Order: sequence, then structure tokens, then C-alpha cells
Amino acid sequence: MTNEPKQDEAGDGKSHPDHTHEEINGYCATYIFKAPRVLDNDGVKDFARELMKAIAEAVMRHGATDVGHIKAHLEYGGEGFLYADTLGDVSDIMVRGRDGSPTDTIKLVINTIIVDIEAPQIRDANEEGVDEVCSKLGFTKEILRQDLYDADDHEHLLQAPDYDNL
Amino acid sequence: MKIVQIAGYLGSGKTTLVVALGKEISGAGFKVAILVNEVGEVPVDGKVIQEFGLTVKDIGGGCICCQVAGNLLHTLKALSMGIKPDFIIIEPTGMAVPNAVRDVMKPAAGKLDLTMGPTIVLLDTGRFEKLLSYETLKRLVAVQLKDADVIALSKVDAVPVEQRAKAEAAAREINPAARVLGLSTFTREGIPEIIAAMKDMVIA
Ligand SMILES: Nc1nc2c(ncn2[C@@H]2O[C@H](COP(=O)(O)OP(=O)(O)OP(=O)(O)O)[C@@H](O)[C@H]2O)c(=O)[nH]1
Ligand SMILES: [Mg+2]
Repeated sequence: MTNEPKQDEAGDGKSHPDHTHEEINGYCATYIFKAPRVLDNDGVKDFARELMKAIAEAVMRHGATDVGHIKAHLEYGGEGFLYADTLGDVSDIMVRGRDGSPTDTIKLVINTIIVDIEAPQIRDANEEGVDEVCSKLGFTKEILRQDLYDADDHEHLLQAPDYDNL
Repeated sequence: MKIVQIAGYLGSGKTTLVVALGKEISGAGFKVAILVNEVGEVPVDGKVIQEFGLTVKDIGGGCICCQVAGNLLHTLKALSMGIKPDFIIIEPTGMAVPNAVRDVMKPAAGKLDLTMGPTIVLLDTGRFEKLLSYETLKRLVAVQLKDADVIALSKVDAVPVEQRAKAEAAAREINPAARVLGLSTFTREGIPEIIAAMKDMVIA
């Protein structure tokens, strides 16, 4: 319906499909958290909620104009999982999932996608928020993996897809 | 294999809708595969969708409209040679430009037996004014809406009717040609219309 050709704003004759990404950067991490005692489902939910709030506040302190989306998947107690997320307002922190058995160990993957601050700052803010909650609730954290996503690194279609060899 | 794209800015409700559509359409006897493109290499959305027992393929570590376009095509090829779903629902990142994603797939449509279905773009009725007020975001949000065949005004359960009317006016101004409907995945408002659009609309 609205398939107008994209504008060649850079004037180099190439299409620039990602020209609108510029100011959105991200940090993604995988953790194992240990609680100071065995938690029930509500305990895990409270932890997730506190994390979302602390990280959202920390990125704003670091100068973000907007929380794009902070979202996490938590695995705990066998079949238990939670999806926790926030778009920045304390009132919209959402935590939902499936109950697990009581546990002191939580595996968590987080994607923190933020507007107008650089990826290393998002990482610092994210870890500040995580550490704050851990020390408040007596948790320990182990980071299994960290990745930074910087919109400036986005290359414009490095290689055209190879349709002939599909 | 009919391709349906569920796009829209970060946090507009795409994954929540994709899970609901996946459950409903597979419950009606169709084979459905979900492709999720995420910023991070370790997915969150992919894990969440999988928890609901749906078939999901993650395309992580970059944007399918530019950086990892080749991965998208290879995933589509694998589906065409494997389970051949009736519907392939694609959730790009909240930063993706929907027509750029479509442009990657279109040249492969004949070879991979793809039918191009509608691009459904979500606009968060609670947040659209804030987003359109940011210099850095308004262009992205507008570009996404311009590429929509269907604009779903999302989370209408959470806003007063006047707010919904404002969102509708903003959406129609940006893209007068699109179908516009109210969506609440929580109350199911708009879901039957979206499923009808997925089945009926073919985009040349
Ligand atoms: N009130 C309300 N909230 C919703 C609705 N749909 C989704 N949400 C909430 O909106 C938030 C974001 O939803 P997601 O489905 O993760 O959004 P998304 O567009 O997939 O996010 P990204 O993939 O990060 O861009 C979550 O807290 C959802 O629970 C709805 O119909 N009504
Ligand atoms: Mg999502």
C-alpha cells in the first residue's frame, strides 16, 4: 500500500533501511542469581519487579531520554518462568509467567534497549541497578554473558542477500 | 507459506500479540511458525514465545532489515523445505523499518513459495504522544506507521476513549491508506479482525 521507494538521504545511491536506528542502543546479559534463602513464586516476582524498577531509574539517571524497553526472562524452580518488563514508568512494570517450585537460584536473561545513551553507559546503568537490588535483598550475581549493541555500529546492508543460491 | 509481519516501536505489544495469534491460529488447525528478530544474541522474546509451546525461530544479533537479512532468508528456506507452515509470523525489532524487512523477502517469494500477507504495525495508545514528541523517535515511529497495511492501536484497555481517538487521528494522518483498528490483546478486542486480515489480505 505504501511501498514508496526509500529515500537516499545519504546521497550515495544506496538504500538505507536502518537510517532510523541511530539513537537506540542496547545491552543484553545473562546471569545466575543466588538468593539468601529459598524463595516462593512471590519472592521471585518481587525480585524481578525490583530489578526492572532499579534499572529503569538507573538509565534515566545516566541521561536516557526514554526507556525503550527493559525486558527479562527468568527461569527458576524447574518449570517456573517469568517475563518481566517495563517501558519506564513504575506503574507499568509487568511480571507474568508460570509458577515454579521454591528455589534460591534464578537464571535471568535481560535485554535493556534504551534511547539516547551509549551502549557502555547502558551496561553501567543496568549493572548499577542490578547491584543495588542484590545488595538490598542479599542476592549474589554471576554474569555468564554480556553483549553491547551500538546503533552506530550498524552497517547498511554489508552484503546484499544472495537470492540466486537460495 | 503466508508471511505476516507484526511490527511497531519497542514495547508496543508485539510479542504479546504474536503469542495470542500463534495460539489462536494453531488452535484453528493451521501450521504456524514464528520468527523473532531481537537486538540481543540471547533472546528474551523467543524464550517467552517458546514457553507457550509455539514453534519459534530466533534471528538474533542484529536487525533483519539490514544486518542479518541473509539469516532471515535462510530461516525461510529451512521452513519451506521443512514444516512448511501455513503462516509465518515475523516480529522484527522495535527499531526495524517494516518495508525494509518486506523488501528483503520479496525477491525470494517465488523461489520459497511465499505469499506476502499484511504488515500490521502496533501503535501504543498510551505512549504515542510521548514518542512522537521526541526528535529522535518521531521519524522512526512515523516510518513504521507509513509502512503498515493495518495499524493496530494497541493497549486500548489501558486508556480512556478520548486517548484512543487521538491515537486514531494521529495514525490516520500519518497513513491515510491503512486500515486502523483498536487492539487489546488482554481483552481480545481487535484479535478477530487481525486474524481475518491475516487470512484475507494479500499484498502485491
Ligand atoms: N494494557 C495492556 N498492556 C499490554 C497489552 N499487550 C501488551 N501489553 C504490555 O506491554 C508490554 C510490552 O509488551 P511486549 O509484547 O513485550 O512488547 P513488544 O512490542 O514485543 O516489545 P519489544 O519486542 O521489546 O519491542 C508488556 O508489559 C505487556 O504486558 C495489552 O493489550 N494491554
Ligand atoms: Mg517483543
